[in-house]
Amino acid sequence: MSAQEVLGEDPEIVLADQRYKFIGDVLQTSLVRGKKKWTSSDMLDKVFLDKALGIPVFLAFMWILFTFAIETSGVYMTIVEEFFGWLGGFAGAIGNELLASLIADGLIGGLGGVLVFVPPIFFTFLGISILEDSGYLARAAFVMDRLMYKLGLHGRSFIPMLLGFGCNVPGIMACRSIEGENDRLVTILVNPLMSCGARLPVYVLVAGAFWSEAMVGGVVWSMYLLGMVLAIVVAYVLRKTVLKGEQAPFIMELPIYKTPTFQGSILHMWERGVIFLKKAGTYLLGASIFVWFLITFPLGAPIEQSYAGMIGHFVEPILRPLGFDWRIGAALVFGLLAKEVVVEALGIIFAVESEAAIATALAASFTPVQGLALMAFVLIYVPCLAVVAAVKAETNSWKWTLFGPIYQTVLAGAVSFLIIVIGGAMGI
Amino acid sequence: MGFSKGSGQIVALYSATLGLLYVLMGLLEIVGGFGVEIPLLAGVAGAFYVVGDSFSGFVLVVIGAVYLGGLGAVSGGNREGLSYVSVGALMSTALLALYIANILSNGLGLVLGFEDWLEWTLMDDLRPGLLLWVLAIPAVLIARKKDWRE
Repeated sequence: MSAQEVLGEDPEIVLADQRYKFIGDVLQTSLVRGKKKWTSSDMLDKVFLDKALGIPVFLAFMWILFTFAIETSGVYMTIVEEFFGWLGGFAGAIGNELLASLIADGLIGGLGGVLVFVPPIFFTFLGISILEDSGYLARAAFVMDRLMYKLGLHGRSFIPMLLGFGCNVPGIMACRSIEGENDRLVTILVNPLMSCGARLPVYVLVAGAFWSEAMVGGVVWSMYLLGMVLAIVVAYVLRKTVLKGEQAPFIMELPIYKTPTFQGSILHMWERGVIFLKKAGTYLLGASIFVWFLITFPLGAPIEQSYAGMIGHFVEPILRPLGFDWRIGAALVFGLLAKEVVVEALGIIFAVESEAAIATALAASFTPVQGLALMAFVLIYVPCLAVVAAVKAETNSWKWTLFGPIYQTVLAGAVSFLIIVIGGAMGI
Repeated sequence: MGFSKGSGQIVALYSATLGLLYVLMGLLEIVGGFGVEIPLLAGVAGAFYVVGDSFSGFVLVVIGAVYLGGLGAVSGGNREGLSYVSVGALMSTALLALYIANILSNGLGLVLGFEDWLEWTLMDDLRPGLLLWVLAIPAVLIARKKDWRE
């Protein structure tokens, strides 16, 4: 017999009830109450937890966060870019043409093309750390719970989904804290729709190619928003169809508000950001060499007839309705290794090194609405292999592991196509 | 001195003015983002450096709504209404911090002599949120007034 059957309701609720009853009893016998002071926490909660204002305020803070991360990092990105440009100059002195190409295009161009996005990634994590350390993010989870509960998603899903902003792998692993099997499965399946840090370089690159500097932050923010909206919609559909069942209640203790410390926020930013740096120094470096190999060989063949070109041409028919050619097709396939590799691959395919040069090449080849559709496609389509492996490990089911990438690719095509149609009609 | 109905009415008048200004600027930014200009308000838009960014317009409207949200309570002398002024001030300040970070970053680009920043001037980064914060200073002071909460 389970604890729930014995108690007649969720043990977690009973435990919380008893704990607060005990606290209440102790306070009643030991505390003499004065006139209640209206504390800073009360003041802030009055608005942050407000039914009507809570969600718009959350969205406003998210916009401030992403605009800060992207617009402020422009200069620092240029510093990194200048450094890799300077480093690339040395490759020209190498006599062996193939080795020079490997170092200039594969190592420096490929890796530099990704490391240039370290500033916006670190600034994003800094912003998230400040919101988290202040105690606001817990309120955001509480506010979102009302909406998510109505739509069939468990309130506790919000924390794994927030973690998904950093990386979907820990986000999926954090779903272990969700008790109901169907609630947990739904959250795992929609977590890859949250924009992880790896997608940020693609957004910054593509948005920067088509929109003015003042608009880039907003366009990137809209991609994060699109991911959240899609996650909620997909969760709703799954809960109403294949994963029906009762929802478990959501209990959450809100931490007190604190002024974030400089040291604490920097430390938390570093803890999250260093994962990206480690990935860049190992996995992305290997991916960069792999992409360079597929683009360079067969030796002497034009890039369109290289192995990468062949892969791109193979997937091109599927992407043609969206107006994407073999170059985007190849970059998207390489994105399965890690989403940042899309940027690396575009740099190598367009045979340019700097982020600005890739942006110029994209702007010359595609329209702004195609750019928007490309960002949406990168957001939604098959997640990277590490995420697929995490889904397999957490669900222990090939059925659900395969279901994710399939529904995501179909959804990516549908959403991107809608963007092309609606954006085209609006004359974007 | 505690929070009274008299002081509440003054705060309400101020919050209403500030909230409406934020909402107005936000709406001008939003419609500007869609390429729509309102000739009657072109002077106001110019004076507040409206650039036609729909996203920041949304944020300005939200901040305005927060200021306006507590009008009923605060005008009746209810200290809970001060929450809205305080959170409005917090959000106004967060927006100010964002724009100052941008200005400092772009200034660094100019100092380092990077090509994209050679023609940058302070005027390029002036936004309604910066100027409106000056008008929000009393709100910041109200938020810090601890004796009104007791």
